[in-house]
Amino acid sequence: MGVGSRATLAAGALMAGVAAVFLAQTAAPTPRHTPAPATTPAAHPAPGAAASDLPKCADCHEAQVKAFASNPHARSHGPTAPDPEEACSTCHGDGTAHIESSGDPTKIQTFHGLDGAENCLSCHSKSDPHGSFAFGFHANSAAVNCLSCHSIHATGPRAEHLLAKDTGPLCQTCHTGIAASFRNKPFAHRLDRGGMTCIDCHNPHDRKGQPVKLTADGELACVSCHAEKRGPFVFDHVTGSAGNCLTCHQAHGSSNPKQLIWARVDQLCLSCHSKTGGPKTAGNQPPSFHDLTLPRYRNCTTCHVAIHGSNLSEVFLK
Amino acid sequence: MRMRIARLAAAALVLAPALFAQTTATSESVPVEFELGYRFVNVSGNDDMYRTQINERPGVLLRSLTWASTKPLDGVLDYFRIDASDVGAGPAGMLKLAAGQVDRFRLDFSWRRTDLFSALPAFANPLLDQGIIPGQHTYDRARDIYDVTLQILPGQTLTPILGFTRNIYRGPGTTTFHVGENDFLLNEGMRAIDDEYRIGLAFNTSIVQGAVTEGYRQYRLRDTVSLVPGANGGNISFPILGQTVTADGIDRVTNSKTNTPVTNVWVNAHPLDRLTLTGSYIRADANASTDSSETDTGNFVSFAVSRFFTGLDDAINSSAKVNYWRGSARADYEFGAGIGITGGWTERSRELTGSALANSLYLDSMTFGGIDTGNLLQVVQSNTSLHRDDRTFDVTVQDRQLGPFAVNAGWSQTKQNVEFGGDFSSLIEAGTTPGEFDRTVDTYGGGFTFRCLGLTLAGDYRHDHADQLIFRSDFLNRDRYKFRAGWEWNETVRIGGTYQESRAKDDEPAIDYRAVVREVAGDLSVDLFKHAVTIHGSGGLFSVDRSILILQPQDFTVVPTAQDEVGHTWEGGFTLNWQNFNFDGAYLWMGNHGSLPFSINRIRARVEYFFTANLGLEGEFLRDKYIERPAFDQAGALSDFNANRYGIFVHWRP
Repeated sequence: MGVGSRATLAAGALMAGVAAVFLAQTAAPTPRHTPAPATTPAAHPAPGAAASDLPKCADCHEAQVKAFASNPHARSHGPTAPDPEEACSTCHGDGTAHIESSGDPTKIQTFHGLDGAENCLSCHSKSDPHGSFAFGFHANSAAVNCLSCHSIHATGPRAEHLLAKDTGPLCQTCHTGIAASFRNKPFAHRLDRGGMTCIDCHNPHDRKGQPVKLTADGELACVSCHAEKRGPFVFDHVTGSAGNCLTCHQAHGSSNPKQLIWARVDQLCLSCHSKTGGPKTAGNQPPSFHDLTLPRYRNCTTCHVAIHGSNLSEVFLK
Repeated sequence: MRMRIARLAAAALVLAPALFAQTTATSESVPVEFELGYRFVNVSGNDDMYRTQINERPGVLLRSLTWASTKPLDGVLDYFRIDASDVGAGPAGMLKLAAGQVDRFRLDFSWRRTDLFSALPAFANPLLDQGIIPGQHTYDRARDIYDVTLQILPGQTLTPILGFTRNIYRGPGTTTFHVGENDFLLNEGMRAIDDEYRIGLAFNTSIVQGAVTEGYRQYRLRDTVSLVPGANGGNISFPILGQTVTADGIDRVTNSKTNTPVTNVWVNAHPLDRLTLTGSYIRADANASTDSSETDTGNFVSFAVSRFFTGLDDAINSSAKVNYWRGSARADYEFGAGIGITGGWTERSRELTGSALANSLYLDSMTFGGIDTGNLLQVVQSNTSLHRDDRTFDVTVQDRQLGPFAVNAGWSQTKQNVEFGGDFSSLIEAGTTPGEFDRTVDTYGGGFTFRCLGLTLAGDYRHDHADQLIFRSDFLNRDRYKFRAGWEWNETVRIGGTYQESRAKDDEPAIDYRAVVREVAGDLSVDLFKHAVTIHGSGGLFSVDRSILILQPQDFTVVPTAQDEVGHTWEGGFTLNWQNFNFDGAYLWMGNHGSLPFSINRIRARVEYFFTANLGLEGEFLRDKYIERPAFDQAGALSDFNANRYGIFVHWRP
């Protein structure tokens, strides 16, 4: 039995197991996550006071309540008329003491730092084959947590996913050098207004060991745009064999044309296509007529034009 | 011109409803914000290099648009949103739409356009210093990617999902073709369309979540090439075996298609309160077929058939099939608050079989000895096979709530097996080198973060060890370090620095591969007068030191080859937001003194004044000055450019 068959069986068994659990749970659902992280879940009027006598959240926090109507969180509270009072208490808990103390900020659940961010996980328990809020690159910690990047009430008009800033400037806050390489180096993906953003290639919630986002086909995100490089080719080259796009290219800003890792094409090609002894490796030695003292042989792709793979020529001439 | 009209139409299409909405009763529930104007471009120096690097074109530009509902729209939609940016003059624009009714449906649509231009003076044109026209490999193409996804009953127990993605890549270019022992410049036109249809079902219960998606991808390519008028002499002007090789005509048409059904399944279960199990399975079986017909006329030489000939009729039919699957299983367990362990297995397998049948008819052929052999038919059947397996196990433990600290440590092992068969002459030596390779890479590492009193520290270290090489440029040992320190004070001052380094080497004396990449960067930002004024600056140094032994083909001597980068980047600027006036300006300077030395100076300035609460006028000035220092056979001053762009925009905000 081949490795693939065993893995297929294993995957099938896993799926069957999970499906069984699914069926069992569908029959008798038991909620695991309580969508109310606040310490006191319901808003009750204070003793001696009718509910209508108390101020409402909007009386003091008018701007937040008004803006919240278009907040994605508001959508989970009814299709047409989100109740701002209920929406507030869902995350901030019972506001009665806060109201009665004329707005004492210590008497209501606020969202700051790791403790605040942990409340987000009460509902947002994402975990999939690639991403996890608890085990991902940016899993909640004192240094980096949900609230480092997301702002529930103070997002910009163009912000998606309630991000505190646009994606580029936000990631740049910590990833300074990488962001600078896009802005400054001459050859780079266009990473600003109408172009790509960091999250086209990276999932900030990805798990460690998986820095580049994968497509639905389990490939590197590069082929999401560069579909013509996907193949399959009769005569595969690096990407289809033992390497990938990053074997030859720098994904971030580069000093070299075509974002290659070497400035000169012949250096890049000969780094694999040389037989200097040592262990057996993939990559053949060019025939002797490739005279590197002549300029025409220093840029291999002058002749080997289909370097990403070819269906017509085993040495990529067309 | 057609593209320009299309862009203007797109801009008008986007803007018209926005403006309409602004003037109707729905304006309060659907406010719109946009920046629309015109960009002027003035480039001196090498316009091709400017377009390769930056490619901002003159014309009408919808710089940004946001049109989003703030409350439900009379029972039709609960939410609605359009975002667009840089639609029009390019080079990269996008438009996104999200609309839906809560608990009923959600529709997402996106369109992205990228203008791709490449005409590098020296790259792939080693004959530049011999007087050949720069940029033999060029293209001026556009890529449009459309994506639409419809979720029915989003967030419910069962959510059907329909999706479609179209990726169109098209446009002219030039390329070269090596035939008859000469290289000829060709015009190329290509059109590639990649369509993907998806239907799926997501499920979401308190215990199990996941999705099953079945997709079907159709890829179509049509590529035509023909000899550039006047390029009959090719790149080689000297006679070969006494004959000057010239082409009177080269024409080739290639059609290729690939059909790929794709199955994607993932599930996520919580059988115990602290335990999460995740599994996934992907299968994609691609079938590709290609037909190519080519007609060449001229005076040619072929060492492969040892003939002179005056023409070539070439027909190639090929097919390639790939069976690919990827499976994974993972368990996450949290012992307590923030303390957890995760372990997983991932395996992927790619099995390629390919074949190509080439019928080449050499017309009026003659042996090198002068014997007329008439037409000569050569039939070549090539077969390839490739099987690649990657299997990874990993485990990580972490405590992310250790007071101000978070720590993690982990290990992973990847076993890679690659087996080449058949006519992979570029990768393996048939008959002499067995085409099977095995490699195991173990990775150990750990990291920490710390935050207290506005001070943030983070560090990460990974060591990779491999037992074998597959490519010569693979490492046997690699160390990677990352550090970051930052400090914030009262949302007023922010200062930070990063350092990262990667050291890879193979410890094989016969190859002696070594690559050291370092980067250090720092940044400072100061907010004054309640964010009315922000001053920011940053600087960085980077270096690359990469070397390996190569075997020079012409004399079989082993020599080292090396690439260096030693560079710096500096930025400084400030923003001013005072009443109705906004200014944002920055100066950027970069230099690289390595193998390919160059310097870049950039200016970014934007000034904006709002005449009313809603209506403002924006001016924008951008400058990029690129100077390439002569090095080996690079183009030197031929590549330099100085590009100024001026934009004026109307800014409407709600």
